[in-house]
Amino acid sequence: MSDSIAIGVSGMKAMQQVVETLSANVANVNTPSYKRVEPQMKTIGFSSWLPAEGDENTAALNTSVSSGVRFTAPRRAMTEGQLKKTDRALDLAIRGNGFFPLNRPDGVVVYTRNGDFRADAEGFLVDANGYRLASDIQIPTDAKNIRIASDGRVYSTINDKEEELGQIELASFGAPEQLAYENGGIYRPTDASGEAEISPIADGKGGTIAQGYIETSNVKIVDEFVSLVVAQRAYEANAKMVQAMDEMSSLANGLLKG
Amino acid sequence: MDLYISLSSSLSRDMEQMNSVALNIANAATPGFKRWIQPQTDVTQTHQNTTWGERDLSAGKLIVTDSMLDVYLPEGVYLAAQHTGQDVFVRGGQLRVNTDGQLVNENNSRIQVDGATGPLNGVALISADGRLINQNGETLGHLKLAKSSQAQLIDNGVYRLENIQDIPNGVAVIESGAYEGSNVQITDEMVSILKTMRHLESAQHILKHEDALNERLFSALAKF
Repeated sequence: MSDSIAIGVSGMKAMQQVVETLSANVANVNTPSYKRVEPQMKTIGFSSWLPAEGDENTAALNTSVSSGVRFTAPRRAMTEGQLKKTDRALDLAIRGNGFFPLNRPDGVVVYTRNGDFRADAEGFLVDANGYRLASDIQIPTDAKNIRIASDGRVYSTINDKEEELGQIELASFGAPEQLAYENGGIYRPTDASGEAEISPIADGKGGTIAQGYIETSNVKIVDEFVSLVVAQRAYEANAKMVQAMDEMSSLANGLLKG
Repeated sequence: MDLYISLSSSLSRDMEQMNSVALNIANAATPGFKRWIQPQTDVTQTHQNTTWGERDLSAGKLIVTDSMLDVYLPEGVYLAAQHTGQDVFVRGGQLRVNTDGQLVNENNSRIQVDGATGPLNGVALISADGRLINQNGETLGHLKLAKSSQAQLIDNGVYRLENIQDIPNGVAVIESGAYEGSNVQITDEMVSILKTMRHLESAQHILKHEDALNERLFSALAKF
């Protein structure tokens, strides 16, 4: 009997984590380039035993017992958010599935899709966290009219003459949805995502750059609210299950009282 | 004393039936979960071991996503796959290309692809007839589809099929951009809870009455 209670509790816990995940999505609806997280659940403990070829003994299959549900590593939906026009010269959005590689001060290369760049004290392009763009684009102090082409080439007008300052490279991954996410819109490669392939935009990998735009979050608030309602109802159903099992146990225990 | 044995067996079976309801409710939002069907209670079979019921293999709810590699298959249609080195079948799901360029699902079952000449990195879309298409519109391979009405669930999301019928290339059966949710209906499960509770209550009442009758019988006998 305690099995049913444990199963119900596992359902309640999983649903609680679903609500937490969905709340994080709702909270980040206005965070540039935020990618929504899809809660994922798995049944616990179905037999991992598979009968060998030609094995007729299937009795064990019927007795496979599972003991509820668990919340597993959520999946990040890497679909592109809409591009919002800002007209800021250093706001860059990626059209495609690439990432901007950044040099973190500790020497590790990390990745972001948030193209809210600015020039630091030395004129290097840095992201919102202050990490320098790995392509090391330095903007001279007397530069005017910064123009960034869709292939990532950065031009500026110095003494009324347009000069090329360098080219922004983009990184692409075999399985971007498997990247590890850190605060501040930063991604790190994992074994599952594969190593970054950093290349100039000309070869078509990673997408192209749109100057004067910011990628918005891909969270759709209505979808999140619908999912929240469903999760809440599922939580209640699990709670009712626990309550019902408690009542049944109490009836069974009451047999002896006469 | 047969009635005692029958009723106590019925009581414990009711409690165990609640396990399958609990599992169904807990997995009401688990992708691809197939509900446990309530085992039939037969109080005359007192010595039968409790067995789990069958699984209801009907198709689950269609859940729309933004990923064009998520696939939803109609009932009875499966994808050929490999799981822990064995040839099995799966019901679509959330597919992705792993770093080795192989197509896998959320349980890391490797999906079999016909006609693939190299790694599948770059697959952007799965067409309704199972073609894997990259961003330039080129076909990189076909999903291997199979149809069967005799399936057995042998692990989470993993099936073994009998009487397999192949689905020829070009037949549109796949809904991409969606995956299969659980086939549990919470309302049905709530009704099952009520039914099981009432069943247990009635068995408990009979047991109590039987006990009271026996007590009267024994006390009457004791007077002789």
